[in-house]
Amino acid sequence: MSTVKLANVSKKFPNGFELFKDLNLSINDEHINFVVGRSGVGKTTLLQIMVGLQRPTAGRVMVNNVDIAGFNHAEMLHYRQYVGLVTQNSSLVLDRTVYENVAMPLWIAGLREADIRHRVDASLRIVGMSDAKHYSPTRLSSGERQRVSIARAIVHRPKLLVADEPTGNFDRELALEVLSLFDLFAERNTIVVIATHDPNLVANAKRVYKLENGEISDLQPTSSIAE
Amino acid sequence: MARVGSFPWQDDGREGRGSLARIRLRSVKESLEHLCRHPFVTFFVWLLMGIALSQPAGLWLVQHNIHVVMKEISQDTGLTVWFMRGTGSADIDTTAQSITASGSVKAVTVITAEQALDEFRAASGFNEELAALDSNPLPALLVIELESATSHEALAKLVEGLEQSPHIESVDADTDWMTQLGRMQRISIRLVWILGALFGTGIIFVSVAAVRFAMDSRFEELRVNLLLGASNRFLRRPFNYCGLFYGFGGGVVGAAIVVLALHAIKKPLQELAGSYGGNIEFLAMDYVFCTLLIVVGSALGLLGALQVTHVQMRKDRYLSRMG
Ligand SMILES: Nc1ncnc2c1ncn2[C@@H]1O[C@H](COP(=O)(O)OP(=O)(O)OP(=O)(O)O)[C@@H](O)[C@H]1O
Ligand SMILES: [Mg+2]
Repeated sequence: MSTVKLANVSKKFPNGFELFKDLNLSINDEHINFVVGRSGVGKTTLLQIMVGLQRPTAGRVMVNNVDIAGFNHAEMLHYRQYVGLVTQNSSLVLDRTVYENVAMPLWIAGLREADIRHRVDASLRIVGMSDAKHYSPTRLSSGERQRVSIARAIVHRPKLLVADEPTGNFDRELALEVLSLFDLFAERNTIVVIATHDPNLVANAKRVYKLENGEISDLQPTSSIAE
Repeated sequence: MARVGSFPWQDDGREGRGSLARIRLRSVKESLEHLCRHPFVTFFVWLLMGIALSQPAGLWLVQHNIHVVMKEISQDTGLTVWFMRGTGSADIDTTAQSITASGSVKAVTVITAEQALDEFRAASGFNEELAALDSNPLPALLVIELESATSHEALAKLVEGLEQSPHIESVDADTDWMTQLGRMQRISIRLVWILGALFGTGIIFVSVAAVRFAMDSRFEELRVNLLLGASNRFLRRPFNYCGLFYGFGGGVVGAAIVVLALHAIKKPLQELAGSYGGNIEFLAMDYVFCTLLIVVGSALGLLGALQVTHVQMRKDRYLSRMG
């Protein structure tokens, strides 16, 4: 079983603002892990620490018992090649086509062009964006861009899938569809972490963690339903 | 328990064999695409680099050719010794023998007054007129062929000795201009080095500027690639190839400039050299020279690119942050 464990993680910004102190969290690949909390509570920061885009001021970030907080720059980059990332504001390259955007992780991995085509097509089909293959992201709606982002996050079959408000611009139906897609990954031993403040999304969730005042609490399924 | 130097996941071999070759090929393709996307930039970079390369290269060619011509002339260098009219053949032979004995002489040919007259007669066709003369108006002469290694000093000494002989009217040895030419050659070699260093630095700077522009124009892509875990090497590679191709194109343009310039000055030069009856062909302006020019250009272009990609990747703004 794959796990991510945060042990006594603190984060203090250079301006002196301390977001969390001695945070402890343990998640695994059994179910989708939701991180909920009000805006500005530190969800994005927490996810960034997990994928190595930010370093904790103190504490350890154990991924399968390896402390990634101790990685150097090159190791961190290599680590990130195994991570699928859906950022809060979709970070697509606007002067590349949708296809090229989704192909980027596979170019980094150096796959054969034929395999890349195959996989990119499959990913775009899953998120329902096949028709937009040759479009520029500039002409897509924000929901569509988000779907392309998701396609890019899954195209290289990541070991850790981290999504920051992936369904922010989706209607309920589409949001649930994306959720069942993420469920598939969780079933296939990918650790899935989703940050959201969409109550609909976590209605049937099995693992929900709530960030509040720099502390994280494990919301039991029963209590999350009760809320 | 933290495993030091380990990785959370097993390498699943998804990259497969030949992935590095494919990544390289893609980088080449991307850099060529960049060159095509900005044709004016590419054109001016090639032109600038070509002009910069052509300066030292052209000068080197000119000085090299002067050097070769000089060597050839100095191989032909000889002295012409004009005897007083009426000098007896015995005195001529003695002089010829003493010159031969002095060393540094390859051959001494005696042309007697009669032979000179015969030659003149044959060449001019003034048969009757010459027959009417009661005495031979031409002096006897010695044509001395010197060893090619003869130094200017040795030559000067030989001339001085000959001029003291009472039978000798004059000695022709035009060595001064060769000394001057030798000096000029030394100056121009030094100039080639200076120009080479200056323009070489210029080429590197052009490459730096052009590759920086390329990186800036693809900044978003670099940032997202970093987000996706691309290594520094992966990110730098297409831009390094860019520098290489800029330099390569500059080398081609430089070689073309030199070829065209030499072609343009060939005719007047031939007229100038007409008195030697030579047909001027520029030496060393061949495939080897052109290839060398292209290799040097490519190397300088790559050098600039390596420098700028290294520096740029260390800048904070290229370090990853989330969108
Ligand atoms: N570099 C920084 N320097 C100082 N403060 C920062 C920095 N980055 C983030 N913060 C602060 O940290 C807090 C948490 O930010 P974060 O983006 O993690 O919140 P969030 O939970 O994702 O919010 P939202 O739901 O709106 O996306 C915010 O108050 C923010 O102002
Ligand atoms: Mg956020």
